[in-house]
Amino acid sequence: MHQLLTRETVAQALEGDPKRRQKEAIIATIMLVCAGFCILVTVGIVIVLLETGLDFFTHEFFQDASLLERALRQTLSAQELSSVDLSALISSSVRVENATGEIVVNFERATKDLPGVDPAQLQAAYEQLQQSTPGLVKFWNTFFDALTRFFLDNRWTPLFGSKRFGIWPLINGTLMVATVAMILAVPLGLLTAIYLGMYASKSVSGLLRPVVEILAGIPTVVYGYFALLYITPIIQRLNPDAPIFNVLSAGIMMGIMIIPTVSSISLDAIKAVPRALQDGAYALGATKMEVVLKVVFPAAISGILASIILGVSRAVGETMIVTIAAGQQPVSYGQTFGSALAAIFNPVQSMATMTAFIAQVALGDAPAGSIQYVTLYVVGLTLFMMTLLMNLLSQYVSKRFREVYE
Amino acid sequence: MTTINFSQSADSRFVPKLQQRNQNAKIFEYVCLVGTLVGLVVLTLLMLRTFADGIPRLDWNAIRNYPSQTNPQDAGFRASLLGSLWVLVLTVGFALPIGVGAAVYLEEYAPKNRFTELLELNISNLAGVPSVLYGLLGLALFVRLMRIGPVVLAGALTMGLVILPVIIVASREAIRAVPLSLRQASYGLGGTKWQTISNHVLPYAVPGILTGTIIAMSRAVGDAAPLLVVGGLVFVTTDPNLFARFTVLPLQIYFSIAQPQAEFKTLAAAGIIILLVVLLALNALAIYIRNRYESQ
Repeated sequence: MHQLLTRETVAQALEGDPKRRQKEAIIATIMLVCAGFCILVTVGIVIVLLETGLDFFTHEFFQDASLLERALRQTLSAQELSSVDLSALISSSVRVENATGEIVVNFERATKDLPGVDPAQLQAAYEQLQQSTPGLVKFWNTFFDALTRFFLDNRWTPLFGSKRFGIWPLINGTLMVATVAMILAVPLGLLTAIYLGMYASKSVSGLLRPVVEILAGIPTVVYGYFALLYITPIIQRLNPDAPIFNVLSAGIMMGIMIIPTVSSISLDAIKAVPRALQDGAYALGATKMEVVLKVVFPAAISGILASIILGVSRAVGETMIVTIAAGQQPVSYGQTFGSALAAIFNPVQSMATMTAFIAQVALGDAPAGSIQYVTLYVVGLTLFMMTLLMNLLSQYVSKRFREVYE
Repeated sequence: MTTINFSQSADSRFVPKLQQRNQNAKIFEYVCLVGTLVGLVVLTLLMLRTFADGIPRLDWNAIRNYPSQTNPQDAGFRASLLGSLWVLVLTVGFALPIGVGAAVYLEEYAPKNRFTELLELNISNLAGVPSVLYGLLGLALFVRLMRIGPVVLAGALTMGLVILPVIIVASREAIRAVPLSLRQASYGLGGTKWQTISNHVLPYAVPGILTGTIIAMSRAVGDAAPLLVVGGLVFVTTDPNLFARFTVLPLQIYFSIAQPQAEFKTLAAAGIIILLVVLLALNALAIYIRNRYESQ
């Protein structure tokens, strides 16, 4: 220690070796990059879904369709217009492959059921419109056409010859499976949480809790197998009209799978209810059931609600069970109000969900840029929005309605 | 505020009805117990049926042979078992370093500010994104944009993203459980932050991180949806490598279920038994690691 102790040398000694500090800074940056990577993943998902998903709303299919619709409206008389299903007519005649493999509007097919209309005349009107319409108007018409079909049509058949793009049948199927699942998972999950949190001895709950968690760890393809091969035959024995692929059996298995999602978060909420609150009720002469239902349950309601919302979110995003057991047929509503109402709420039928549709298209290997490929992402976007909304809601509920006890 | 009026007539006065209420309470307890057991009993029954259906089909050929579209009696799970193994190893190779790095940042480095809040919110939301959407990301990004194609590498990258939040959450918990005194002792001896983390915090947190990683691994083995979207359901009769098309165990089970012949359903049952054995082994390993380190 021959160095002079000046202000500078002390400061230098305290700052440490510059090489070592540099190394520390580099490592800290690497860790930051790792954490930042997660944001990149989210951004990636959002960009991919938005980029390709929004392509749906500007796809050539709808450009051709909106032009053909205007051409038909010009060439057809009012009486002819009212006699044909314009939407179906257009869907089946735009973007069809012709003999030489080009993708064109098939005017012969468009006028097949219209004996009074000459295909050449329609084509002339179409081409004239195509040239005379300014680009911006064309874009807006395309966008508007796609938007209308997506939200206002009531059929989903983008993989068929006559393409229809109403998203509601898929959302209907998704919510129906989720409803069946939650009808099972909410009561069973809450009873499980109450039993483990209030009744079971320490050793029993220590044993049972991980066993219940196993239900969430079973691969979903196994649940799909159970639903299709073991549950569906039971349903068919009770109701001989039940189809092989049906929402009920998929929903039942999904409900079993979701029990731990509901029970585990609810259990944490129940355990967080202070002992003094319960003792107060016991002191007033309440039985254990009354304490559970009238004291513990209301106090834990924020966690319980959050767990239920999270369960719904899991049900909505689940893929393999519904792909295997609920079928790939989007629900169709029929012509009358009564048949539509029956179709909406009937669980003993085949109903494609959003996830099942994604799996179906992915299996078919749709070429990039085609209308099928684009629908894949617009459905994905819808699914993402729904689950994101529910996850945020779940977090909000558990924060907002939490009772804080000192 | 309700006030109790003690001078009310006798029939509106509080009647304890103790016997009735105690009986209800007893019934309620049993209802709760039954509710807890329903799911487990159903699962057990379904498992037993699957075992009854699948065990006769289970022999060495079921593991050794390649799949077959025409001859379910001789078909085996060799290609998909190896595919699962490849995907699993690569997945963990990608996700573990990044996941642990992110966890270390959030627990040890992150200042309390808006960015950190955003990171935490982001991770909890990532954990809630349906896995099939990761498949769509993988399809657009790895398979098409990067032109890797629907091969093992693309599948593993996609699966790595799926399990990343699981690893981060588990690692954070493990790191948080490291006592503060350990860090302070290291700082007291003049250790830098990284020396403290690498020599004291991480070794102490290893069992927790490993347990979490194995749980994430069992998710990667069982989850079929993202790989289905990426293109993992193909008929392969060769052993996989990094740039070969591949399939995995749950997807070959799905393929077998989708076939009309009854022999394929039996094959699916056998595949399910193999899959469950793999998962059981993984979880047993996790429990073994936890117990071993806990006793030390």
